[in-house]
Amino acid sequence: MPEVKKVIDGIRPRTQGKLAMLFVGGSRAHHYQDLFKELGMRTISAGYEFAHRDDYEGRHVIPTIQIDADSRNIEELDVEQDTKRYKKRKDDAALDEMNKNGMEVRDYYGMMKEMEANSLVIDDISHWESEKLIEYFKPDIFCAGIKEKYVIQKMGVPLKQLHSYDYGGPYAGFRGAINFYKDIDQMAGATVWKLLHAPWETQQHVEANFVIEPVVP
Amino acid sequence: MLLRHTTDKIIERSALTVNPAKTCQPIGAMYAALGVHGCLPHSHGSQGCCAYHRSALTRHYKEPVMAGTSSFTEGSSVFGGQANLLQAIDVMFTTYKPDIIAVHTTCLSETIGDDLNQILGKAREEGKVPKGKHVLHCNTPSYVGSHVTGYANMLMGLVAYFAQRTGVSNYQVNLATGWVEPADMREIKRMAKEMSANTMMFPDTSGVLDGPLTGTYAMYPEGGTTINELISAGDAKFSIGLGPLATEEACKKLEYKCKVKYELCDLPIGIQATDRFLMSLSRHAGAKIPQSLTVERGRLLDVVADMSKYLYGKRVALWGDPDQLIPLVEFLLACDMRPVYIVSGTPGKDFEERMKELLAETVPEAKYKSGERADMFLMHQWIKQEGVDLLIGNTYGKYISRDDNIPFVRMGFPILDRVGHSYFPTVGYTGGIRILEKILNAVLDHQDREAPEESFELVM
Repeated sequence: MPEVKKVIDGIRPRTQGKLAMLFVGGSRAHHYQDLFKELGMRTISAGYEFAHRDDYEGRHVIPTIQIDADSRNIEELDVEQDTKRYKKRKDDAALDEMNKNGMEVRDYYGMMKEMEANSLVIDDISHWESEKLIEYFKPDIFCAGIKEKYVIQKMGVPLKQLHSYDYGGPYAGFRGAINFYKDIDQMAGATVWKLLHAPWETQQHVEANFVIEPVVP
Repeated sequence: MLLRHTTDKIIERSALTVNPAKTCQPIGAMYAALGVHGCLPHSHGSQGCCAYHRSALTRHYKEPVMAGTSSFTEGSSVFGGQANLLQAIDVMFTTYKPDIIAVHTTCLSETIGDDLNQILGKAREEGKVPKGKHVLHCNTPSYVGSHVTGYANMLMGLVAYFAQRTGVSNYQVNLATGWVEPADMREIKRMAKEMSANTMMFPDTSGVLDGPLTGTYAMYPEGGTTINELISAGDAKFSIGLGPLATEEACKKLEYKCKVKYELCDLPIGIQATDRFLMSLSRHAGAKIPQSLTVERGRLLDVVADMSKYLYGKRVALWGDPDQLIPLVEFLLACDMRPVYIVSGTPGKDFEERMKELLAETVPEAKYKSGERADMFLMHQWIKQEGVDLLIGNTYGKYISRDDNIPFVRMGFPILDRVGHSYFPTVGYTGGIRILEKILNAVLDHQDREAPEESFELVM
């Protein structure tokens, strides 16, 4: 652990506040968030390819799932207040007060409750969606697999493969964490991303010429 | 273990150079002169000098390299080489019929103090230079500077002799190229053409030292900057010197002689140095940088991004000429590599300043040195102290590479044991991809060779 701490301390000044997106299966969209958090990075969007409710919300929802052909899948739900029947028994101020005193009034904090408010959990993300996400949020690193890698990188965002680990790793355990921190530091901080635009794309460089020059064949 | 006696214990040396990271002036003068069409280089000194320079260039290019020599004997070493040079000029013009003879000196003739101006004046007086033919010279004493200095001196000699100012501008931008390969010169011309910039490049060894096999030998091949082009340099609106050490003197001379202003650029190696060259050319030639070059740039960036994992953090030792090393180090830094040891036998005041500028913050542990004592032995000692992952430099690095099992990329002069350097450019964005290809092949081949069976991977 002291060794892990030392590596984090070395890297964190460079990674603090950076944004990550995480679309990879097998519970990794959950677990890697912890590693990013340890580097001071925020996972602003995550998801699996087609996971079930318990994959997202946790094992504790399993008893509430009615098994039928489709019920473990993510339902299409559009929830809103019933203006006729919903009656608030306490007003907002009273709820806040109760909350402050340690009274939990609500028990649903989203699909992946460890993520911050306003984060996006997206199941089976499409290419169009990921393109829009990158456009809006400009993440510093995107995690997915080989098919996505070069697509995302063309947009100027490094992509860490979390299936093959970009042929790196291992990432399990303390030593594995160190490997991961170093790889993320390398990718998110690579100089090449700062050179994306040629200077002539951003600067006015052709000075005016006041002489008419002959056309040279 | 051919270098097994090299230890990590560094002893301050005040006199000795072991395995120098440079060679002597005339070889540069000879190379520069070969970049002029119809030009026969001539070595004013003993035959051995000329033989060494010709064989080094020939072994590097695997192409014919012709040059005359004054063939000094004991007698000329005592009484001076005037008689030899006069006779040589006569023989060359009558037998080998060059348009130009470009004479450079050697340590011997410099030490005697032969006055080339006087000797060539006498040759002209005596009618040994036929009408329409030219003899020019430069001084290349090898106890000063290095092969780069000799190259710079010959460039200056060419400008001093040929450039003329008529007062009517030809609107061209002169490109004085530093010491690069024929393929690089071709690539620089291609980039300028791609921009539709009106340029004249000198010297130009493309078409001279990368000639085709046709069944006919031509003593003066198709390529090379022509006499008219060299004359036209004086009417240009601007000069860009690519590689400050190799081209500054020529640019200065041209400004002094013909009032052509100039700017010095790094050789366009890697991303940023190529950016700067194109920007400079765009500014001074009033030409736009076309989308096609922006796309080439993007292609290079794509390779850097895709392969960044294998480049990141690699410790590199380099040796060569400052004009190459400075942009190359900048390029390695753009790839997040760590150029830790850099030596150049070519002395130059700017080298250490530029290295400091590039490395002080990014690679604080870097060691670099230029001049007499900055030799391959010192670099090897540094490597013995703390190892590196990659060597980049001329063929002489192969001993270190073998002894210490370090991947090795051949770049610079001379490359005596491989082919390709004269055909595939390392300048420009496309050249950057080639540099990366070579680096990655060396590093990954090494990994494949050394990996234990259980971690030998198909996809790396």
